[in-house]
Amino acid sequence: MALQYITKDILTRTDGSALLDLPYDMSWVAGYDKEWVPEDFEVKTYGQSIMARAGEFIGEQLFCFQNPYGPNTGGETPNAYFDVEKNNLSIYSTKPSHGAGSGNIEGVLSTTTFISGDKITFKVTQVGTINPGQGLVFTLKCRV
Amino acid sequence: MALQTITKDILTRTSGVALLELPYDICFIAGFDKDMAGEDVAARVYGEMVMARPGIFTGEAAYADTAPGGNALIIDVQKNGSTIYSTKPQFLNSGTLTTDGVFSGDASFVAGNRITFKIHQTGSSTVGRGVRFMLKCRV
Repeated sequence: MALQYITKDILTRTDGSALLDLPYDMSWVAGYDKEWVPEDFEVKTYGQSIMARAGEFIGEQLFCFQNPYGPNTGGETPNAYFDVEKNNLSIYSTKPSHGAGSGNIEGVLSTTTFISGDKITFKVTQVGTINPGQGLVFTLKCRV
Repeated sequence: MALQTITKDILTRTSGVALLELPYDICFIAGFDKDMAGEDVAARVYGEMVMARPGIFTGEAAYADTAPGGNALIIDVQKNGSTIYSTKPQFLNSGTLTTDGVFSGDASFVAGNRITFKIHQTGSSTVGRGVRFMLKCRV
């Protein structure tokens, strides 16, 4: 990055619009009961947020306390799928997933930008048919 | 920060691996009911998350609406199921920490590390209530 650019007001962030590659990660969980004991997660929305500034999605990290199984028991195909939506549309062309045989498979982003006011939804879209997964922690990596 | 450092690719953060000492604090609560009214804490897990980038734990801040009495209220944070502390942060007869946490050898984390927040001990004659805990990190 040219020094001229560094010094050209990009550190003026009062309106929140400058993209400085600063971390802006957000975390959700699914499949825990009210006392934080893992339980089966379901196909449903588990979290909502609204962005307060402009930025970019980078990727995600996830962990399942208990692997989902079925219909591809122990196989290479993932059993549970997760989604993040921006204004009700998925940000992924390939959703992040997890399975006993496949482990974590990163999502492929189709939408990488957000602006202030965008509504973000985290949901589980498939759980595993024989045994649903339990205790999912999911962090969406973003920068602003 | 020297300009040489600024210009040495440190703003290229697409992989998220550069440690720029940026704040990455994480907040947990315990001892609140569903209406956010204070209730006695229990010795159990109160929060889980997964780290999305590498960084370092640097400390904590905490407050309890009701100070524990008798025995201390002790807090723990685990990384992949093992405590990050050699001395866990604790309250005793005070709403602010009476003993700060001391990190055990490795205070670092990487993307994918699972973080667990739990109450390790609740207090005895008076059980603590309404605990707010902020884990200070940098990335």
